[in-house]
Formats: sequence, structure tokens, C-alpha cells
Amino acid sequence: MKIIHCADLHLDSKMTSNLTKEKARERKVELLNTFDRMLRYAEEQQVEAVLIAGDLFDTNHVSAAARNVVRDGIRNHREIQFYYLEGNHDGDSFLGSLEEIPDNLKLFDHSWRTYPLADGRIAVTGVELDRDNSVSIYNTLALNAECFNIVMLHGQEAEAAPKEGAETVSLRKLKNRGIDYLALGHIHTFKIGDLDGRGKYCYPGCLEGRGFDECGEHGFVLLDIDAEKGTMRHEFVPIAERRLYTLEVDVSECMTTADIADRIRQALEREKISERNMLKLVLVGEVDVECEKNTELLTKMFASEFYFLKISDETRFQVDYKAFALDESLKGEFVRLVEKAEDLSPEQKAAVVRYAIRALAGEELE
Amino acid sequence: MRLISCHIENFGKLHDLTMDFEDGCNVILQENGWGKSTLAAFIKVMLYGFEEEKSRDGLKNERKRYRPWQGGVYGGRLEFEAEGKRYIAARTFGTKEKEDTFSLREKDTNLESRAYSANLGEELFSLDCGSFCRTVFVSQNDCETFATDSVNAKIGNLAEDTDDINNYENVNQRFVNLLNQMSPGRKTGSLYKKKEEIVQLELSVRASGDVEHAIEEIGGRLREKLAEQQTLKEEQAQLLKKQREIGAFKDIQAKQEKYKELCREYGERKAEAEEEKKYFPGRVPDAEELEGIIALGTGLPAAQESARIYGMSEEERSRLAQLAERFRGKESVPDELREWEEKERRLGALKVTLAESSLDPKDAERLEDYNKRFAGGVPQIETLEKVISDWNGSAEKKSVLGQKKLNYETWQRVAASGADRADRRAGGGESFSGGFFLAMGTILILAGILLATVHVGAALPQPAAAAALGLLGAACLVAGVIQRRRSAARKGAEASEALQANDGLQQMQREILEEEAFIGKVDRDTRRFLAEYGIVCDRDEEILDSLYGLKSDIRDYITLSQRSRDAELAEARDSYRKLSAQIRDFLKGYYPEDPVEEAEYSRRLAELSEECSAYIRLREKNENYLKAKEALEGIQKELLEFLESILLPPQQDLQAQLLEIQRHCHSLQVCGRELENVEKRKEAFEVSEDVEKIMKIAPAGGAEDLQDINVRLEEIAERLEKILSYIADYNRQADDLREAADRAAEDFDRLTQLKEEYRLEREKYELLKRTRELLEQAKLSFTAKYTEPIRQSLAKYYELLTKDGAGSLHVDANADITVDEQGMQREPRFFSTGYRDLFGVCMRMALIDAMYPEEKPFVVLDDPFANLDAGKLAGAMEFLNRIGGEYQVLYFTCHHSRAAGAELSYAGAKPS
Repeated sequence: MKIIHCADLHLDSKMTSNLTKEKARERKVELLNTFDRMLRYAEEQQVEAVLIAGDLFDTNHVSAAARNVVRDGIRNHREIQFYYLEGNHDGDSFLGSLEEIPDNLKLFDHSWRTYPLADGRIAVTGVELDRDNSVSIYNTLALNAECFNIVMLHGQEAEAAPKEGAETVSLRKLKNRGIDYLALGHIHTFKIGDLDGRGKYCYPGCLEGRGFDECGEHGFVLLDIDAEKGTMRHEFVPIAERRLYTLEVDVSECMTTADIADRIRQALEREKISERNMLKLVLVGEVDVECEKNTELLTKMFASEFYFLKISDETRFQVDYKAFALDESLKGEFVRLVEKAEDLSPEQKAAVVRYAIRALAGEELE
Repeated sequence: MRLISCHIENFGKLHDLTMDFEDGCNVILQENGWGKSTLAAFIKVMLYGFEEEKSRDGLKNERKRYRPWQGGVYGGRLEFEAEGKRYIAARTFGTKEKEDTFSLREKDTNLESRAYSANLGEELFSLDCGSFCRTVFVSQNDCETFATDSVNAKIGNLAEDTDDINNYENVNQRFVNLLNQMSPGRKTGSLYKKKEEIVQLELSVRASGDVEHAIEEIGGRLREKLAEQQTLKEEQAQLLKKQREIGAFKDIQAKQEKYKELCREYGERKAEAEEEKKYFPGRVPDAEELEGIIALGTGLPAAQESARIYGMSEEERSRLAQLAERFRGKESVPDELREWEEKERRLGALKVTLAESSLDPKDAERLEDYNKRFAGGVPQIETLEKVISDWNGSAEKKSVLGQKKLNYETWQRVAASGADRADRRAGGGESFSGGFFLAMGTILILAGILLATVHVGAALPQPAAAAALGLLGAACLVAGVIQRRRSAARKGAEASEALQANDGLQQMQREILEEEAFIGKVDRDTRRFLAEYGIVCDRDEEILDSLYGLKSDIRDYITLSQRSRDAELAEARDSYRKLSAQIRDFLKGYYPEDPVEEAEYSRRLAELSEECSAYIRLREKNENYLKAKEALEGIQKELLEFLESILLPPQQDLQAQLLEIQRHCHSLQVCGRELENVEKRKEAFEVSEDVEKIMKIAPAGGAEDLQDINVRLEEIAERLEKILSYIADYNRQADDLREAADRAAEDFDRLTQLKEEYRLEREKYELLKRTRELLEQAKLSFTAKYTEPIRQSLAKYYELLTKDGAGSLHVDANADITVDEQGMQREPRFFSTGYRDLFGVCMRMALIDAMYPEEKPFVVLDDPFANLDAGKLAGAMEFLNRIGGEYQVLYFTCHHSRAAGAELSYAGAKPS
């Protein structure tokens, strides 16, 4: 039996943190399309169940488009059982808007609930965590060891015991409880590991990266379970429409924007990032305080090569105090004064020196 | 650097003014209104161009202010010396700066020089115009000074470095402006505004907690309703299921009955099939085989009938055996017999021939006569008949020939006597000829009758002559009648016919001659023919009888001749004997024990033929019988083998038995089909239905339960409807609250972002502020290095001017002067105008000393001592003398008192 495990779809996410309104709108639609593609994949692969381990939606206020896509996706795939466990981002909006819960949509609440699959040889058990039950659920979990047990939870993985009321999942307390596959949600990056001698735990990550804190491949996990033998194979299936990259470019010793552009170009040639993807370039390294660098210009130079480009300047300024030691000028006097200033950190001193030098040179004070 | 001369084409009120300058102090002592300040301004404008170009104030806008009063070229020349070279700078001014012209030539070569540009002043003095006006150039009533960036740069020898001290004031001002724009304390400051927004957002976010609470509450109620809805739906589903079950039990019951019926029918059909199967102890023949056998059995009666029909009695068998014995080895008897019967008929014919062959004596005598008579040959009957015919034809012609001759003669005469005699002769002739023919005819007929009568009486054959006479008589009668008729018809036409008579005569003549020739020839030929057989006739009338007599004799002769042929008879007798012997032998072959007489030939042959026919018939019948018997036995054998193969004992009536088998086969097939059909239906039912489950289902509830269920379902439907409206209502409320919460979330995001922005901007603000402070400190620290030399120069010039000690004077790092007065350092602004001018002039010279330690510039002083009291004028003159020893000074004044005492050289002005 094939089962899809996905989580943290965050449909209806605003996507405005980096993008313009137009592109944010486009990405919102792409997010819905990716969900739809996942269902088509399920149909093609004859998947019999889809586990949604929380945060199907990004907000409690679900748009009509998102609601309809999900509702119709479920209704139009009656051959697939959907197990939807609400996460911390999900609210009542979606379910409340449904006149009738489709037969193939299985829901959970705040106490353990089990649904049989494959004539009872597979059991899908889950509970929605809240402040009240996050401690007690470990005491009330009782699984039939003869079944292939899938347990669904949404929360932050925590090896230590969870604090009272926190939405964390204690892997330690779930060990040796007869779990074959712990289907988790909350962490947006794919992660799989051994829970104990019998089972595995897995975060499939989100379907689409939304910000540069969600770089890398995104998709879902396809499980192929032999219910007779109680064995399982898993496969991560990338499905994201676009991929986000964060690329650090060391621009040390560059003195001009053109120098920096050359370094960026070299880095891009090495990485070969497709133009349909989203890229965050992080400029790092130490540059001279008198270095002329214009990130706005750099952004314009490379923006057309990607769906979205953002340049973050994390360079540190380097002040060559020795060079100013004997400089009989206002600058020399100033730098010597700054060097001696005890109330400033080295970074602040560099910033102050850069401000003064740029001001004296008649340039903008960034 | 010094000025050599200047020439003003037109500048303000000055026109065509040339002025030479000397080293040391040049005094331009002119009365008020001469244009001293204009001349000073001309020098400044020649160096720096116009100031305040955009000002609408006519006094401030120098281009407007110094536009020539009298018109003409606006500008002039300035000759100066710098770094050992003399140059002539020339400028003309238009209404706008772009219309201005500038040229620089070396004095010695008069070649254009690029040593300096139009920015001549800054390049010569390393000072901007403002700094120039605060130091080297002292305009009227403007002695006050301070150290500008240019001044500081010049003092610090950084005049060439544009990014340093010379830009300090700008930078400082930028920092001030930027800090003001960012200021957290000013309402217009961006940090202030951000802070305000943060406060507002914090309030908003704090208030959103209430929304979240409301959402929670609404969500709780919604969940309650959803739970109730779910519970009710589950109950509804169960009730509907039960309702369906009750309703559906009838269907189940029907299915149960149907299945039972199928099972029963199946049992019956199976029993029937087995019963039918019992008829067949062995295998069941298939339909094709059976059809073949039945078709074979259908031929059985016919075969039996054939055998019966062809069956022979004992008598027939005995007769066949007897006849077979007679005809053994004689396969071709019938044909042979027909041959012998023919032979027997020929024998009979020979016997008759032989019986008729003997002649009597009379016949023999007459045959003898005939042999003699026809020794030369017997004429052919046909030849004789031809002769008779010719003779009869000749006799007929002869009978009419006489009349033709008469007619000919008559017509001959008519033709010869002419037309007028024609009437007469014709009438008489006609009547004569007509009467003649009638009389002649009557005579001839009578003669014929007479001749016939005579002949019969005399027993002589004269019929031909009598007939000829009769015929001739008749012809004459006919001719007489015709003549008479003709004469009557031709009465009117004879005249014209006479004309044609001649041609007719000739024709008649030819016919008469031809007929006479024919008659003569026939007569001759006939007489010759008769003579050949010994007949001579004297009269013509005898000839015809002779011919017919000859014909009769020939026939008689032929008959007698045939009867008299003896040789032929002998041959016939021989044939008769041989044939008789053959027939006897033939019959002896069949009847050896019984010799046959010739007279019995015919009977015995008939008997033999009858026996042969009987033999053939019996033999054929026997053969048919054998065939029929064989066919019958074949059919019977096959039928018995078939019955044996299906293990059924044969019955008397095989055909009936076959039909019975066929009937049973058909019944068995029908039963099989029905069994198969019911079995299929039963299996289909078992496949489509869970029979085990169906048969186990017991009746579920009754009508009363159904009624209760319906009542409860109605209640649930009503409640669900209400719950739906509640849910819709809560959803609407929740949507509104969620929108508010979303806005609050957006506010929170914005607040977070804003706080971060505020933090970063505040950090920047503090760093900028600190940068400004440090930059100011650096500037002070930098300029402080030159403060002391300036202070010393200031003290020097102050003491020179005031004759007082300069101990009370202080100069700070900004080159600002303070003076100890009343126990405090006071700024010059607190002093009188005269002192302020004094401080200013002294500071200017102190700064110039500091700025130009090597090549000294010229200094322009436009009546700077006008505000000094008389007591200080001596000091001022000494001051002028002192600086004149070191600098080229252009000193403008309008009063001798402010020039007296000074070691002055008066610059020569050459007004045009």
C-alpha cells in the first residue's frame, strides 16, 4: 500500500516577506498548484492514503480559492483516504466552511483516534496537541503491536521531556511504543531518523520553500508498506515549483561594486542555479571602509537572471588604522580619535569611520 | 603673487579705466561715488566671477549690480604675476554665466595659457570665494572674519584635498541635517515617527488579544455545534441505515425466496435429467449421430417393401431354374432370337415366291410372241407415253389448222381488195365464215359420232379418230359462234382494223407454216416408232389406238418375262432349303429332345421368344430381390450395431425404437438445458449476492420501529437545519474575527519589522551622531595645531593697531576670537563696530600669514578703518605700512585722514 506523508503546506501563506505583491500572489497560486500536483501524483501512483501532519493552511482565515482547491482535491479523489491532523497554524475556518465532511477525510481531535487501513493491518493513529494534552498523550497511547502503526503528530521535535503546554513532541517518550512510522509535522525541512528498533520518525518538510530560511529541496514522503510483512520503504519526492537558494559570496578585498559583481558572477557560474529559482546572495568578508559598494545596483545587475533575487550585505568593514597614523589631515585626526574611542566596538568603529569618510567624500550615508 | 594692472572696459559705473599697481601699499584715494568698491568688486569678479547670480535683489546679484551703466562691453583685463610669471586675464560678461568669456595669456609671449582656468581665484589663492572674502579681500563694512573650511584647508596645507577639512562644514551640515531627519526627539524625525507607529501598533496588537479570545470563544461554540452536528449525523446515518435495513429486508426476503426457488428448480431439473439419463444404460448418442441413424432407419420400410416385391414364388424359382438351364451360356439370346425370327419370315417369303413362279401355256405362247416382237429391245413406258402425247398435240393442231388457213385466206383477200370493199366482203365474209364454221362443226361432230358408232359396232378401236372428228366439229362450232360475235362487235371498227390486217396476215402465215411443220414431223416420228415394233397404220385414226395397244403389250411382256426367269427360282429354292436347315438347327439347340418340323418353325420360335422373355424377367426380378435383401440386411445390421453401442436391446420395430430413443435424447437435452439454465442463474445469484449472509438475515424490526425511526429522523433533520444556521452564523462571526485577527497578525508582523527597523535606524542614528562628534573633535584637534601661530599673528597686528597688549585676546581651534572683558571671554559681537573691524582685520591678516607662509598674495582693503576713531588711525596707518612691506596691498579710502601717515603709493587711475 502506498501512502503519502506531507505536512506544513501553509496554503494561503502571504509570501510577502521578500516578494512584491504580484509575485507573492503568484507564489500563493503556485503553492496551491503544488498541492494539486501532489494529488495528481498520488492518483498516478495509486496512493491509497495521504497523511497531512498539520499546518495545511497558513492562517485561520482561509481564502475561498485555497478552501476550494483542498475541498475539491479531497472530493475528487474518493479512492484516497485523507488523514488531516490540524497544526498550530490551522484553525476552524476550513472545516467549519464545509457543509459536510467528505467520507474520505478523516480528522483527529485532542485525544488519540485510530483509523484502520488495509483491513486493519495498518492503523493510523493521531492526536492534535494543545496545552492541555501535550503531556498526557504519552500516557494514553495504546497501539496494537500486530498492526503496522502510523502515528501522526504536529510539533517541534524535542528529545527532552516537553515543557508544560509547549507544542513539542518527545521522541524519547514515544520510543518502544509499537510505532512503525511517526509522521510528524512542524519542521519545514525533510528529516528522517530511527525512533527505536522498530520504527522511524519523519518530518517531510513543506511542499514549497517560502522564505530563505526554507532553502533546499521540498516535497513529501512516499511510503510503500507491505502490510502482510509489516515492512516499509520510504522515498522523498521533491515536488516544489521553485527552489530557494542562499549563496554566500566572499567579497573580501573588493574595492568597487564592479569587483563585487565579478565575484558574484564567478559564484553563480560555479553554482549554476536555474533562472526559475529564488536566490539570496549574502555578501560576506571584510572590505576596506573606503570600499565603494552599491547593493542596489548589484541587485539590478543580477535580478533578471532569477525569479527573485535578494542581496544581503553582511560584509564587515576593515579599517587600516596604521595607514592613518601619520596622516596630517582631518581624516587622519578622525581615524585616530575613533581608534581610541572606548565606547565603540570594532564594528561600530568601522561603521563610524566609513560614515565619516563617505560623508567627506560627498557620498550617501548608508 | 601680485597685481600689475587692470583695465576696465565697462563695469558698473567704471568705463575704460586702466590702473597700474605697485608693490607694497597702493592707495586708491577717491571721493565717494568714484567707484572704489566697484573697482574692488571688479578685481574680485575677475578672479572668481559673479556671486549671488540667482538673487533677484539687484544689490546682491552682482551681474545685475555691475552691469555697465552706459552699456558696451561688460568686462576688462587683469594683469598679475604668480610664481614668477606674468599673466593677463580677460573676462567679458553676458547676461548669463554661459555668455561669459575668459582668456588667459602669458604676458611675455602673449600666448594663451592653461596655467589657470576661469576658476582663477580659487586656483591662485587655494580659497573659495567665501574664504577669499573672509581673508584676502576685505570689502567695505565687512571686516569680520572666521576660519572657513578653505581657510583651514589652506592653513593645514590641505587645500588640494577636497575630501578633507575643506569639506568639513558641508559634512557637518549633512550630519546635522541627517540627524535632524532621523531625530527621535523631533516630530519630523523618522525615528520619532517610527516610534509613534510602534506605539500605535503595540496598542493595536495588545487589543488583538481580545479578538483572539473572541475567536476562541466562537471557535468553542462552533466546535460544539460541529460536534453536535457530527453526533446527529452519525445517529441520522445509523437510523437511515436501520430504515434502509427494514425497508431493504423485503428485498432480502425476495432474494431469499428467489434463491430458494432457484434451489428447488435446480433440484427438480437435476432429478428430471437424471431420470431421463436412466433410459440410456450406456452412453447417450449425440444429436448428429442420432439423426444419421434415424435417417438410416427411415429407409428400412422401403428396403423391406423392395424385398417383398422382388420376392419369388417356388413356381417362379422352378421356372427360372428351368429356363436358366435352357439359356445357360447364351447370354445374347434375345438378339439372336430376333435374327432367327427374321430368317423364318424370309423362309415364308421364299416359299410364296417359289409357289408363284410356274407359267401356263397361253402365257408361254404370248411371252414367245413378245420376245420376238421386242427382240430389238423393249421400249420404255415413258418414251411411249411421250409419243402418245406428241401425237395428241399434233392431232389438236391439225384440227384447227384448216380453220387457220381459211382465216388466212380470207384476211389475205380483205387486205388485197381495199378499204371500200371491206364492208361488203367483211359482212358477207363474216356471215359466210360464221355460217361455214357452224355448218362445218355440226358436220364434223356428226361424223365423229358416226365414226364412234361404226367402230363400236365393228368392234374396231377407232375412238381416236371419232374423238378427233368430234373435237374438230366442236372447234368449228366454237369458231362459228366466235365469228358471229366478232362480226357483231367489229361492225364499227372494221374500217380501222382493215388497216392492221396486213400485219396479222403475216403473223398468221408464220404460225400456219410452223404448225404444219410440227404436224408433219409428229406424223413421221410416230409412224416410224410404230414401224419399229411392226405396226403400220394406214389412217391417222389408227395410230393412237396402236400406241395404247403397244403400251399394254409392253406391260404384259414385262410380267411374263419375270415369271419366266427359271434361274432365279433355282437360287430361291436353294436359299429356302439352307434357311430351313439353319432354323431347324437353331431350334434343335434349344429343343434337342424334340425335333421341329418346318411348319412349326414359327410357333417354336414364338415359344422360344416367350421363354426368353420369361427368363429375362425372372432373372431381373431375382437380381432385384437379392439387392433389396442386401440393403435391408445392411440397414438392419447398422441399426443393431448402434443399439448395441448404446447398450439398448433391439425391439421388434426398430424404427419405432429409434424414434423413442430420439424422444428420450431430446427430453434429456431439454432437461440438461433447463438444468444448465437454472444452474447458471443460481450461480449468478450466488456471485452477485452474499447468499450465506442473505440467508442468515433475519427480519429487522417491524413497522412500529420504522415509524419511530421516521419520527426521530424528522427531529434530527430539523435540529441539523438549525445547527447549520448556527454554524453559518458562527462562521460569519468567526470570519469577521479572523479578519480582525489577521489584521492584528499583520500589525504584529509590521510591529516586529518596525521594531527591528527602529533598532537598526537608532543604531545608525547613534553611530552618525557619534561620528559627527568625533569628526568635530578631530576637526578641532586638527585646527588646534595652527591656533597658536594665528594667535601670535593676531596679537602682533592687534598691538600694532591698538598699541595695547594682546594678552586679553584668545583664539580657539575654530579661529574664533574671544576677549577678556569684565572677567569673561567675550565674543567680538559684544564690542563696538570699530573694535569688531579691528579684530576682523587683525584676524584676517593672522589667517593670511598662516595660509601663505611663502608667496604672499595681494590684499584688498576697501576702507576697513572707516569705523575707527581718530586715536586708532595712526595705528591703522602703521598697520598698513607694516603689511605693505610684506604684501601688495590695494587700499581703498575716500578720506585723506585714513591715508595720511602711511607710506603709501597711490595707484594711478586713468579714466578714459
